[in-house]
Amino acid sequence: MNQTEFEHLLSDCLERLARGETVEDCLARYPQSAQELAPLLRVAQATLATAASLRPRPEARTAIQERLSRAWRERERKRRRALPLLGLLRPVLVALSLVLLLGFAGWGTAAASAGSLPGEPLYPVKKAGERFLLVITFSSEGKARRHVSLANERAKEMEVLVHQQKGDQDIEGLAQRVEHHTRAAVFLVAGEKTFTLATPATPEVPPAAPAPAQRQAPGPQPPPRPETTVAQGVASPSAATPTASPGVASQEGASGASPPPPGLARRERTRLEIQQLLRERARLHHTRMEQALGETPPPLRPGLRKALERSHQAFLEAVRELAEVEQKEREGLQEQLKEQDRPSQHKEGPQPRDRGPKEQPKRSSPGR
Amino acid sequence: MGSPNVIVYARGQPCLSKFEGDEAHVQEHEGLVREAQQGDAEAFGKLYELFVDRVYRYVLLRVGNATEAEDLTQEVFLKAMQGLGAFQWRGRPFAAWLFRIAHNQVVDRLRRRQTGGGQVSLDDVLFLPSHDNVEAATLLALDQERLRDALERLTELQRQVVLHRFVGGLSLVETAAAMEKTENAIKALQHAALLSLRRLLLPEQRAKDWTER
Repeated sequence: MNQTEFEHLLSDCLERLARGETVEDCLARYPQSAQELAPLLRVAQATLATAASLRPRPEARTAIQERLSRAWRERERKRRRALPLLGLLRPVLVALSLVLLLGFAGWGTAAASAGSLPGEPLYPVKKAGERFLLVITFSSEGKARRHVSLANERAKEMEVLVHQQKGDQDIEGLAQRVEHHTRAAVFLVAGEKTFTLATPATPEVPPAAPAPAQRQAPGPQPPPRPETTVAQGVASPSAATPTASPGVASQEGASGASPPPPGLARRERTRLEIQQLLRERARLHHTRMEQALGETPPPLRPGLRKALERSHQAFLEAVRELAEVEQKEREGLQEQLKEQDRPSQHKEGPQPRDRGPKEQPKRSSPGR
Repeated sequence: MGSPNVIVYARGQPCLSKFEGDEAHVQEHEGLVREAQQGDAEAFGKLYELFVDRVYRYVLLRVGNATEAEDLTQEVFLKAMQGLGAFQWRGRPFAAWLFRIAHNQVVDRLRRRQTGGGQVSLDDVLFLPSHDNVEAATLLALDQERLRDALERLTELQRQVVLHRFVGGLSLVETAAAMEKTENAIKALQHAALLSLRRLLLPEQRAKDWTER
């Protein structure tokens, strides 16, 4: 018998001892190994017997029981206190889970709707998502950027629809939306002093195109719109909108002057940024639409071209109006600076135009 | 209802309860643990009754001090109560889990004793036995001292296997789970441990008489 076999045999005997058999019973079961097993089993049994005599004192046993009872009661009290709280929180947790679930589902649907077109099932979801983003954008500049982005999106949809040669009605409607969004963007960054627009910031229905006189009322009458083709206007937007050039020129001319007041600077930056975006979009939109138009059957072209001109002009008009606003604000600022310069020549100390914006609060700081 | 963790005598030989190590008994532990986890104090009380003596013996033969052993036994059950909610069966018997707690408590106490230089008094070592026969008590106490002395001379793994198997009364499976060893490893270890104990406890005829008593 090898050692492993003996170990199994010994283990079996130890299990039997633990189950109540005697050493003699085990030895009788394995007579061939009895001599080797006997001393080991007797030692095991002696150890078992000695250990079995060890017990905690009765008073110690009682003390442990009491201590455990106190601990158990405390534990149960804590558990009971925690359970009602969980019960109260359960509806809140369920509601939160549902909101998260719906949020993820909604997000998935919104993501899936991103490439949808008018007339497709997910298009209303896409529009709802856009409206939501507009609602949660609070600053005028942010809203203006969103409107520019939406104008771009509608223009892209037009391009795809024309390319796919479908949806005449939808294309016209999209052109109207481009017009609406570009006007809203201009209105939001134009400022109240020099620019007014008859339409609300985010009207659901695009308003009727206001008369040019209405939109340009505060400023001098711009030169009549050049009778260029759309292609010319795209090739050189500033040439198509001559008022844009003075705006840019004045901006460049004023760049060496004192910086604009801080409040104006951000709006001015946004305005320039939007102007740039709209100009770029006008060019792209025209190129793509012309390509798509070239592929459409000739009978459909007049209606589509009308829509294209409307959307393209909406971009260009917005660029022109922003340039006008820019020009007027520069002129107004220069006038203001001139007026400030005149009385300051009779006073001692630094001229107001040299005074930085940080020094201005000295006059208005309360309590000093 | 009597506790199953009692010494029974078969043909005049003392041995551990016939329930210990039994599969049915393991299932009984599992049922009690589940009931205790659901807040049943009586179930936890039964578990306490089943294991308190076995834990105490295990702890006492390691620390050698009755008062300290009682204190540690209380700590073991308090820890078990705290951890009961997180205990999951998953093939590891409750006894193995409980003796793991006991082992950790003992190790902590011995480590603190080593760093703190604590002394053990003779009065504490000579704990009160479970019966009133003074003569027999003296003999038993001496036997316990010899056993403890012999255990101290074993290797750590041999000592652990003896403490789990013959002092704590754990089955082979429970011992394997508590010591995180295979059953075959435990079989080999208990063989080696018994050989060592034989050399330590049976060097002379007097010892032979002791084992045949």
